[in-house]
Amino acid sequence: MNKIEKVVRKLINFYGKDEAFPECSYLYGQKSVGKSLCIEKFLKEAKDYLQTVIIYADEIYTKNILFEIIINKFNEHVLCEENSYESYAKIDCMEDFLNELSALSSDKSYLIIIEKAEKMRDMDLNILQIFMKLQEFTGLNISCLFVSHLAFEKFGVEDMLKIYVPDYNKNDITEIFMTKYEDIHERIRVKIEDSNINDNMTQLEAFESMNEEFFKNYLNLFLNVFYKACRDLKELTFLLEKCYSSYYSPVLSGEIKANDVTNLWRHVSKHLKTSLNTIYMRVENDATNEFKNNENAEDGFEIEKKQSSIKSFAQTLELPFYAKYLLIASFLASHNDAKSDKKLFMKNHGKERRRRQQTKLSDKMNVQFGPKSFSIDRLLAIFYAILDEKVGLTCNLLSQISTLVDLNFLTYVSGENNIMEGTARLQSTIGLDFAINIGKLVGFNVKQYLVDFH
Amino acid sequence: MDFNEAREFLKKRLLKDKTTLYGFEEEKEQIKNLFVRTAKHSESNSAILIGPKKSGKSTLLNSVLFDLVQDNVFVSNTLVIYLNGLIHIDDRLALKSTTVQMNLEKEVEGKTFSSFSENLSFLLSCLKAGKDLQRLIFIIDEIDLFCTHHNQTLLYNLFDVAQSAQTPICVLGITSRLDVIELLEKRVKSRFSHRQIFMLPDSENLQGFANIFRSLLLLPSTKESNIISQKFVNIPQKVYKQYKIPFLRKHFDPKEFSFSKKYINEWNKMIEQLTSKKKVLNVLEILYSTNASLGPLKRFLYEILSTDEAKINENDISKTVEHLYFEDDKVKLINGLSVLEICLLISIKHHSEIYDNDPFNFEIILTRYNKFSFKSSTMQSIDREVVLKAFENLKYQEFIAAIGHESKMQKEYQMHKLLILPDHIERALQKYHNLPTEIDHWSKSCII
Repeated sequence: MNKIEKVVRKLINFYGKDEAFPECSYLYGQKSVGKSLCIEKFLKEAKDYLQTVIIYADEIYTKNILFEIIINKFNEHVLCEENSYESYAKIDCMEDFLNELSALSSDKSYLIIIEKAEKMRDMDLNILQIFMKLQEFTGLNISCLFVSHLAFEKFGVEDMLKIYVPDYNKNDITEIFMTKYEDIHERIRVKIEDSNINDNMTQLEAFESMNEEFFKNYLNLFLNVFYKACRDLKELTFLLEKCYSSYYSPVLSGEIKANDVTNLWRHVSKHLKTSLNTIYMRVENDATNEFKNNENAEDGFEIEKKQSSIKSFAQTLELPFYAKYLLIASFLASHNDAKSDKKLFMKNHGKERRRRQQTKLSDKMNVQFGPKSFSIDRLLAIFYAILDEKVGLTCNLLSQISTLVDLNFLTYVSGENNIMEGTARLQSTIGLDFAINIGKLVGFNVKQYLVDFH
Repeated sequence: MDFNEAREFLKKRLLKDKTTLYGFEEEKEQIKNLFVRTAKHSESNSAILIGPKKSGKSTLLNSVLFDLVQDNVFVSNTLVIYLNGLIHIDDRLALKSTTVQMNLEKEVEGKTFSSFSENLSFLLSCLKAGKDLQRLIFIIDEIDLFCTHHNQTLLYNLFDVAQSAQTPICVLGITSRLDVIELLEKRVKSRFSHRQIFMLPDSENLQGFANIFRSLLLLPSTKESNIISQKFVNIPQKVYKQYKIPFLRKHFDPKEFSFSKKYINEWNKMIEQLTSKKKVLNVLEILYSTNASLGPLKRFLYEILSTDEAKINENDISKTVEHLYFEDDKVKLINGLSVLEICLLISIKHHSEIYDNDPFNFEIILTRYNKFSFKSSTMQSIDREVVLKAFENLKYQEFIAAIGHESKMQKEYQMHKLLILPDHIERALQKYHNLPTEIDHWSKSCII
């Protein structure tokens, strides 16, 4: 917490009472390290002598809004029914804005705080420039504080005073989470008391054994898994509460003692790992719920099977047999050169000249560069080459192509309206893993037919 | 408590004192002469003042005007009009503002003009009809921006009036672009007097720079403060209303503060001692060789003065310079990334080294990263989706950026380029806390 206070101190040094403000300054740091918190704390201390307005630059879709918010705030003009929601003054251009600012009392001090300042770069060119030297144009004791997560040079403007908000290390985060301990536990208690299970009492008893040490152990395990992949405090907070229930549930049910850290870890590790793979996605997956309801530890295996998402998606995908082959054919068409088709798909593709084994100059692969487009003719040719059965070219088969397009497995690159002429070009959108899994379902080895793996 | 007051005083003077010029006496004299000749002898003139950003162009102009407005005659017969390329983004706005500044809104009301020049000449004729205020000084800040306006109409007309000597008018452009003359259209250029006044900071006078540094920290004696204050008293009230240039508004007045004579002596002695120390001179040399302009020096002083310490000492000064000039924002920000994101940056670094800064996409980087992660003991069991998120976070931080705009492309295949130097990554890794050893090894050589 010390770090935050240091930043607040610095802000007060710059924007102190009765002092001359700098023309502008820049507050930066990684996302969710408490930049806004610093400002909040600073404003609390400075509210007596400072007129402030906080602008969120991503809300400003036209500059008039920016101007009017600032002028309204500084004139203490609140939009309400009496003034029929009209702002203090109508401001069309920069000069009006500066005139309105100049009209303010010069005895007070003003601060404009601009959050997400990186969006200022997308506004009219002169806005950022003028906001950087409002003092020169208005003669007030006014300043602009830009807040952003970017390095300053991304703005491409003259240097200004900079304040860096340092990021949290592991200890800081542990400390922050420990402050949540009582809150979380109170919630759990209420939940247990509300539940109508008969063994209410035993659960409460078990709950009592979950002390601060217990929570700290959990934090330790939790951060060991998550900290390397994600340092976003917001995201971590969300995950922390989400995963906690599966940590303490065996304690409540009496299976594991609260001080048996090894067993608890064994129990929760699988769950933590699956959650790790859904970071940022906020999917409320079935597996988590199942875990909560069913405390049978054997289910862990089932869950993991469900979780490896690509695999499971490929396996549950209900597509007709031919459509699956079409899907694979489209993948092959997109990721192989047309040149190599002959070599890959024909049984007698002529004598293969014994070339000297070409040493691969690079490890670049076709698969890495994204799909290339192909014509429907080529798709069908590959389809017939990889399919062992003989099947007629019926409209049923062709309609599968449009089904795949509807499902977004294929997209048109060009000639969407000329399908019958054969000039339409398509592209596969699936990834290698997905294609391999589909291949497994129909007993087809996809890798064997890719130039990259030859 | 006295120290705090002295600090406050110095800070205020740094920011609010917009008329004290250090050096550039010759340039000041030149511009003053131009203005005086227009005001006194009704000559027309045009000139452009060119100097790097933050070198004190506005200060120079302010100090000239500050001297001139002491004179009642000047105030009564000359009107100063201020236009700024940042505010007046087209000629229509500029003309509107000119009308307002000339106080001719009433006369113009209801009239329509077929062209810009007609409008301008109407304004000038109105002026002539009036008794006083027959001379005009146009100050055009950021004149390079006016060059982008359609046909450069405003510049053309102003220079035309100045050249044809219809009305006594002086046009002074201010810009930081050295090539501003090249931006003028041929017909505009031929009407310009080609008088360019350069304000280039002296790059071979470290001693002078140190002197400025000292005088910015010294407290003025009571007598000196009185002289400055007296100057403000002399300014006719009319000026405050008339002038668009706000340098006079809430101008720094040293008389707001009062220090005892003893304290002034004490403080100034301390400053003299401080500025003769070797450490401080070293710092000044760094500042001077980076940028000899006054702006950065003032900002630096401001940062030193914004402190809780009860004294200014040389250690703080050298610490501040280190913090300002030797630390890199980007290295700091990279240090705040998670280990996974660091791993991706290392992969990207290896890729750029091997393929000579070729662009890359997510798949390429993922393959390279996976080669490492399969063998590593710390980075296992992270899904592709999570890695993709980490990759996007790098993009959000603008460490990498997409090239081209192939919106139809899937994001995994979108080509990117690296926006930071490999050196930044290496420096950040040296400072990174608790970096697993194997990642550190991997960062140094891509062979696993």
